[in-house]
Amino acid sequence: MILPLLLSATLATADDPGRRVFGLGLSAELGSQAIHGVAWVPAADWRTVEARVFIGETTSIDFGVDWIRLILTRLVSSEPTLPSTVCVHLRSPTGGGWALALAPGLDTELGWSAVVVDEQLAHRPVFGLAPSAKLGFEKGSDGHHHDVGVFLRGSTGVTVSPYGIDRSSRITLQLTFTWNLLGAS
Amino acid sequence: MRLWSPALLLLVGCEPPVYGDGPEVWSDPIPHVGDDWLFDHGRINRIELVIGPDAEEILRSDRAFSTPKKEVRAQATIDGELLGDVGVRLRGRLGSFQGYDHKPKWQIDFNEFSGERFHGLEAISLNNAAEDCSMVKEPMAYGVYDLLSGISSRTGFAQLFVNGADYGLYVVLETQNDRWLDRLEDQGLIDDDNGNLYDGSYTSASWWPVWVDFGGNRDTLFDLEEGQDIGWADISNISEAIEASDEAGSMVSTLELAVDWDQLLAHLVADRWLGNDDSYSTSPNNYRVYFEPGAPMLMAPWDQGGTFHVPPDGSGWRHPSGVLGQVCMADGDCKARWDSVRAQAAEDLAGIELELWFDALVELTRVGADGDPRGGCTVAEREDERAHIRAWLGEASELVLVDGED
Repeated sequence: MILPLLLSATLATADDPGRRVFGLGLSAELGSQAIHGVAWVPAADWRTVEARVFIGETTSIDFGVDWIRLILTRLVSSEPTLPSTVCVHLRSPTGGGWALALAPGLDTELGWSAVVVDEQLAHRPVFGLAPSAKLGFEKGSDGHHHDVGVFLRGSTGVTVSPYGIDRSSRITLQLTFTWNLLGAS
Repeated sequence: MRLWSPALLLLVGCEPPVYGDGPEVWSDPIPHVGDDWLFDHGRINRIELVIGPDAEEILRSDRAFSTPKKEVRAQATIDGELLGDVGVRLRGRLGSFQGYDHKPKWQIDFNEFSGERFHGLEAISLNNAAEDCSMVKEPMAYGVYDLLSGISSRTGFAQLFVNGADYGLYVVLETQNDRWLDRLEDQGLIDDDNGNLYDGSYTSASWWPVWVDFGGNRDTLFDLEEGQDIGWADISNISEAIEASDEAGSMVSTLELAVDWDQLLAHLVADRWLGNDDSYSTSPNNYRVYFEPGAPMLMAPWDQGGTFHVPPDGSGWRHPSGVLGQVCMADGDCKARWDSVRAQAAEDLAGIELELWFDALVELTRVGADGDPRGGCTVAEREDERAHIRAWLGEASELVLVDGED
């Protein structure tokens, strides 16, 4: 079993500190993924564009897309896909600036697969769906200039392509850093 | 915008490079009797493929991790003999894959559209020697496996032209399929060609290579190439025997009977003698296993681009990655057998004029390799590689006997 690890650094801007955050950043993840139900292997993901919309002091809707994976799958496979994640990010202050955080959500994957139909190149959709959740702790700096967090994140689901259905599960340790450029208060 | 530009360039791709033509090095056509002429180390065949624009677009869409690679219709002519429609597809993954507009590896399936075999063959593979500036590593490697373990593919050479463009020199490789098994039976190397043939090449998951081997609950990763789908029962039989051997602390009789150990150990000696860093002994990778009905399992090499890399006296050879090798090294009797097999192999190879064989291959391929328009090696790099291999041939048989340090 290989220790999964996610390092995430997010560059963010906010027009209303603690209320709305748009983030553009860089993150890298080494996790684990099951194939054929028998083998666990490390996996790499880059959730490199993130957006957060706060709907209260302690709740936000987080959205992330992995555009590096789109480029890489375009370069090295004939099945380019764009993974994305949407989750509800709930925080419960525990004192000392720390908060317990829980974020149930949904991982999706959209793309296309190049196939041969009647001796012509054709493209067919690829679609993935995986319920996900992460649980961990976050700490905000004074004035919400930045936040740090540590999470355990897991997901399990299926990807449907013209070549069949792949089932996969993954669990990762996620470390996050979010810089709120306009977030000081 | 500046930051986004590289990403956009990666997304839209680039225009394919324009290659010129190299020297014409094919040999004069000869009468086609049987199929040995395709795998003759004394000649270079000329292979021409005519591929239509729709089929070209399909082939251009394949990448290193495209699974499966897509097959298209082409017209083939080999050594002046027009075959008509055949199936062609690109081959290879990390290391050896190159795109359609460069110098890809190919498989030509003779009977894909016509149902007709070509002089008894259903397919051949054309390897691009992407990891071999000498262009002769693979023919040497398959030859050494053949000499030592008896189970191998035949090789030859060809200059390939696609729609008139010179794709350069290729290694012609006998595809391991039912026709290959039929040849092994004809030569008395197996008694029955109706068994199951599995590919043990690595698979990949989420960009990560997953090695395929016995035990470890990975039986279903073996890819059935020929034979009947029996739910990997023959693979599982060996995996269970390996687990029983682990528990017993020595090789159990079911495992001893399930594998042709003399053949397998000879294969592992060839891995070592050849310094193969991408083989069953090292990854494990690039091997196939055949289950002849009522007979022990045999192993064959497949895609041998990683040879002449790791010196045969390295300590790593005492700790092979392949689990069958590990079980053998942990068993006193099998270890003694291994020592005996490698001593015999060293003696056998020492008695062969390897340098003459090598020199003849270099002589045949030098002009074509040096002038290969898509080869990717300078003439100096090719000469260095040739010198490296020639020196290896003189030393390997002694080094393979060295045990090395733990």
